[in-house]
Amino acid sequence: MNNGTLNNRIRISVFYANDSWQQFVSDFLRPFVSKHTQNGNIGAIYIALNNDQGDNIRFAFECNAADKDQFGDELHIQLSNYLALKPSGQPPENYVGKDFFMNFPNNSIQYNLYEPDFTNNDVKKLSSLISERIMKVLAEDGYGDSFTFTFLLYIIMTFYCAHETVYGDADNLKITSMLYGDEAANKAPDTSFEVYNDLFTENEEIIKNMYLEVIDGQDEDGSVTDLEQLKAHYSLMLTGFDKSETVEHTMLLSFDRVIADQVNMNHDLLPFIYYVVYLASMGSFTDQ
Amino acid sequence: MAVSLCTVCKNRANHYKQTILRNIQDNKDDATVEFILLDYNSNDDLEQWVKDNLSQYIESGLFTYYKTFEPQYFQRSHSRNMAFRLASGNLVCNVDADNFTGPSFSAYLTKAFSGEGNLFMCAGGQFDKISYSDIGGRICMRPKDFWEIGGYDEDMVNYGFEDFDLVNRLVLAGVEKKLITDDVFLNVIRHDLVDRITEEFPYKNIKSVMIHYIGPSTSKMLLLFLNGNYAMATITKEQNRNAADKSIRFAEHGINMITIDEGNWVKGTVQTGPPEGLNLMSAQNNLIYTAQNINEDSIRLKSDTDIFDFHTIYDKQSIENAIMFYSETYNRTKMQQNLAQKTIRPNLNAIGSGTVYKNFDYNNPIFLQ
Repeated sequence: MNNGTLNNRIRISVFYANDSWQQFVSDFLRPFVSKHTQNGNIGAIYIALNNDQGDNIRFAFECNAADKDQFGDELHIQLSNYLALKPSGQPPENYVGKDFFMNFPNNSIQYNLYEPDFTNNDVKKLSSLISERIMKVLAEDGYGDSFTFTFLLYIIMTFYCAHETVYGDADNLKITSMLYGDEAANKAPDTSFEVYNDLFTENEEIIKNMYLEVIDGQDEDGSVTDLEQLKAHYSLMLTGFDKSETVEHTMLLSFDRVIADQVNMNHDLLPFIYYVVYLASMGSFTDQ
Repeated sequence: MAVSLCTVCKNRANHYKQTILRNIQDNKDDATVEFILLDYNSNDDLEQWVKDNLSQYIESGLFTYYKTFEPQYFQRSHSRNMAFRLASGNLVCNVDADNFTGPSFSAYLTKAFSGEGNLFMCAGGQFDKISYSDIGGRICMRPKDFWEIGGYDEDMVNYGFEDFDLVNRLVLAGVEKKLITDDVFLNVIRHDLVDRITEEFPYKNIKSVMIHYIGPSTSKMLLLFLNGNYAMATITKEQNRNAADKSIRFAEHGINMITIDEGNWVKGTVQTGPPEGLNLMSAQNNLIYTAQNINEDSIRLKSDTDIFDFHTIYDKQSIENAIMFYSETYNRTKMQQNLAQKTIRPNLNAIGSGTVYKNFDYNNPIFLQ
């Protein structure tokens, strides 16, 4: 059943219209991950929201099951049954030329279309953490226009606070100076910041609420937020990179390779993200 | 050991202004270093800026400005060959306009090359570096090694892989490869991908990019150029090829590459004529397809055996990606051919030829034959 070059990773893309992602995550993905994480069949997970060649959820994991082939076969059957039972509606047709290749069939299962970074143990932990958060937000709030925006801000605020806790103000300023000055300046003309400023103003309340949620350190249900986990993870992650690498470099790797990738972020949003971090670092929320 | 740090520029003054002064300062501890700039027929403000800001270094002999007015388009291989012909050092090193050499880079090179053994140094292929896509051009070698392999392959007229090809052929010639790994020498100005191709023929002459879908892994791409030429290829996204096959779900890695089924782009000309009004001719002027306009966005290509409907791409980013893909795959294929055939010296004719002028002296052309 395999090609003889086994590793223990399964990389799946479930092509499913994004207006049904909430249903898929609630009914299938989250229970599956929960069950098999608890019984040890799966290790690190990577979940990403994607629309390359059709709406799809990327789901990769380390398979620790005793019989990996059998586990993979059973998962394939369960997924196939679910897609047959609850097919998503047809997403809008991808107009010709938007991509160089046509879409995969909706409600289909594809393998090995991507390669999440499972080589670095700390990045792997971050991926798992974000994946769990994606499932939670998706299952509870659904996927809409604001999902990426709110999710990203949440993660960034959380990450920012974790960093502040570990390193304090001086390093924070250095980071934001670098992000804002070099990276954003190269990627966006000055006029774009007016747009971002407007966006920020329009969403100021939601940003502040998320920031406060992170600061408070508790979710609405009273459980400890990801902040504590992220703090621990953050310290770990720093040790995972070469000593010569800067904290800023690490932050960029995290943004670009992990977070942005997993929430299917349009990279045009990057300067806006930096702008939010910049504002946060300048104490815009300190009066709250 | 004198080191020549050579840079070529075609309308990249915005980058060069940011790097050269710092590079000069960073290498002032080496009295033997020289900076060569070949202005490859720029029409931005590069020349004036050099006059205004680098005259003192020209007078001291540290910096030399050359300009050629001949090239219409940027050609990496030819321009670098030309710049290296103008260098006088015992070591020649390409430094792209967006590269910072880092402190004492020339002294570092001098020390590295002072030992025994025939080596060259390069920075390319270090994909763990955050700036890996911008440092590939940094290659340093003795001039004799460079000329013995015939320099950069001038058949590689587009963007990409000309530096990998040079490295391959130096290794084939028995020169030992040594990597420049220290990050202090590998800082760059990060910039948009499209900057790399805007001065090249395909970008300046693209008329339209068209696509014909075959499946999720395979399409046909057709590039039409303003001069009446076309290029066509059947492209396959390798990681998609077996994506529906669950039996290979544990594959070690997906192959993240788009390949061309024909081996390389098929090129020819579009000519007007019966029966449909347009014909796609081969390079040997044989009829390949008749072309019929379906509507303003689409054409139908017909041969004796096939019918393909091609649709125009309008998305700017997709068009740029297509041009980049065309440029890179053409050069990549040539690189692979050189490697497979163990071709050490691909340029059969003189390289880096043309007419240049030194330090704004436009009365005395220098002919590089």
